[in-house]
Amino acid sequence: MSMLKISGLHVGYGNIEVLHGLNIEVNEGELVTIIGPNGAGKSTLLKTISGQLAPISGTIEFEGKPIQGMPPHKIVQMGISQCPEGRKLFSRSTVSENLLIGAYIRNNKAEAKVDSEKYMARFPVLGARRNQPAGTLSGGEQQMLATSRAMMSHPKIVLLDEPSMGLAPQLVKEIFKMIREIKKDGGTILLVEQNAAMALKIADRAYVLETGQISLEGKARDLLHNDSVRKSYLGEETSETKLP
Amino acid sequence: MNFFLQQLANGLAAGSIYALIAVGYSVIYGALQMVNFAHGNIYMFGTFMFMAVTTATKNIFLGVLVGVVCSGALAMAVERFAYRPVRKANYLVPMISAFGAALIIQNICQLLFSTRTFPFPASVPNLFIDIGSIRISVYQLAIFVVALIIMLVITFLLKRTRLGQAVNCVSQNKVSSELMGINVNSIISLIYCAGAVVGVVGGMFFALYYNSIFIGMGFLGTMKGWIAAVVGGIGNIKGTFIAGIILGLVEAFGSAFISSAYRDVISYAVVIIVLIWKPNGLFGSQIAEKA
Ligand SMILES: Nc1ncnc2c1ncn2[C@@H]1O[C@H](COP(=O)(O)OP(=O)(O)OP(=O)(O)O)[C@@H](O)[C@H]1O
Ligand SMILES: [Mg+2]
Repeated sequence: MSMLKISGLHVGYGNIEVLHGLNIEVNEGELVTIIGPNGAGKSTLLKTISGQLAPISGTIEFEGKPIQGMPPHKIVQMGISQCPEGRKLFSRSTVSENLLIGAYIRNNKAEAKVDSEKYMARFPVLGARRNQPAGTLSGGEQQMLATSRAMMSHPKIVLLDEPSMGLAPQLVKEIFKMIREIKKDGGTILLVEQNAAMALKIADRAYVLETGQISLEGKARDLLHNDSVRKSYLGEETSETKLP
Repeated sequence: MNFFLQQLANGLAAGSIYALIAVGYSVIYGALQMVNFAHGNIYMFGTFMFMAVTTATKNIFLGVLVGVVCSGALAMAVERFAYRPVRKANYLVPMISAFGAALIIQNICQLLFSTRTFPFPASVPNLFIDIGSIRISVYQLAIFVVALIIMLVITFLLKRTRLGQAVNCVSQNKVSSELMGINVNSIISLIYCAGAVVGVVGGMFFALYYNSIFIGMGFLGTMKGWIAAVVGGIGNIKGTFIAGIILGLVEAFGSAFISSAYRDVISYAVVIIVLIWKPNGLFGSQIAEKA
């Protein structure tokens, strides 16, 4: 049984439909990526899964239970955590406060504290700025913090919306390294990316989302060698996009 | 000396009332950047309910309880039906629906209680503490102490508890707060409730101190509370509280040394001077950069 199963999902804003009947599955322990151009509806999809938008029709099942239309805080409590596009940190709160807020739904605050220390040790730049307001961090630091914050609730699945957006190549590598670590620790990930080359290299499976429809799906490795994907999304590979 | 202490006690008591009403505004503004224009009428309603129950049951504690609960519940209802549906609209829209809610509450109160002015519903023994040759009224001090305790409790809740953590998140980013698992709607509802509870304590003290309960008290207290909130830096709870006390003291000493006819003039002069000097209020630097 798949952990997350989306069937016939239609979503819109007002009376403009943006997603036209998506079918997507994510199995436990999998890293699934969704790639596609600007405006395809990738963020709309993640917002619907996390409960910020209610679908027009279709179902979203998580561990066999329908969750579509549930309020976001309930969905987080079920084990779905989203790191939103543009990071959306609590900019006046400090780095360490942001991490602790990520564990809001957990009861054991002492354990959460230990976890937050773990992330600040994993990313020494965050540790060094633990008492600094999150709004004063650089873009790369903010992304590390936002991704760590999303993990602080111990989610069963984490939804990442363009974690590499606007980052220098070195930082993109750093973020992707973190995503692979989450997977290695047994995490399940749904990764939305415009950096298709990087995403396809680390993912197990992939979907290509174009103007609200899945135009292609399959093993990430296969898509990496698919002609139309190569033409539309990979272009010429540069040395920066190679994994370390 | 005696005279000075008497004015000090007068100022502290009146200032505490202003402070409580003002903190009611500030709690809500600090968390939501919303001015609850129905605040005055919400605590006025609560004060009337306090009066009605105290008069009927002769039990002032039950009256206080009912007053507090009614105010809190009314604020939550106003939030639910007047503010939540227009939360994402232009800020003028909730302002207008707030005035609408305020008018409805006022009219209901007029229907229930008429436009008369009522005395405080219980007899208050005039207790004094004698310190040497000086007499200080107990209930003046009690008003100040209760206000101080309420203010400390609020500060503790906001700074040290999980609830406070959630309020802080909601004040910064509602979408992110939801994604952290915070029930944003219930937090907002609670914030309005808290503002009203603090406000109605101010309202009941107002009734006690001036021995009067009337429809216009919402507006009257609101004028002073509003001044205190703005002078203190609206949204900053400690600043608002201090500004309320200062306002009370300035009025008391101003009335004593200049003339009581100039009391309101003095309070407005204080606002103007402070705002020229510090446009965000005495303690209001943090909220100026609100995104
Ligand atoms: N709040 C909104 N109201 C109306 N339309 C919206 C809203 N948000 C997004 N849209 C529209 O929905 C479509 C899909 O947007 P979405 O943000 O999901 O795209 P995306 O694939 O995430 O794009 P990007 O890669 O640029 O982040 C776009 O046409 C967009 O204009
Ligand atoms: Mg997007």
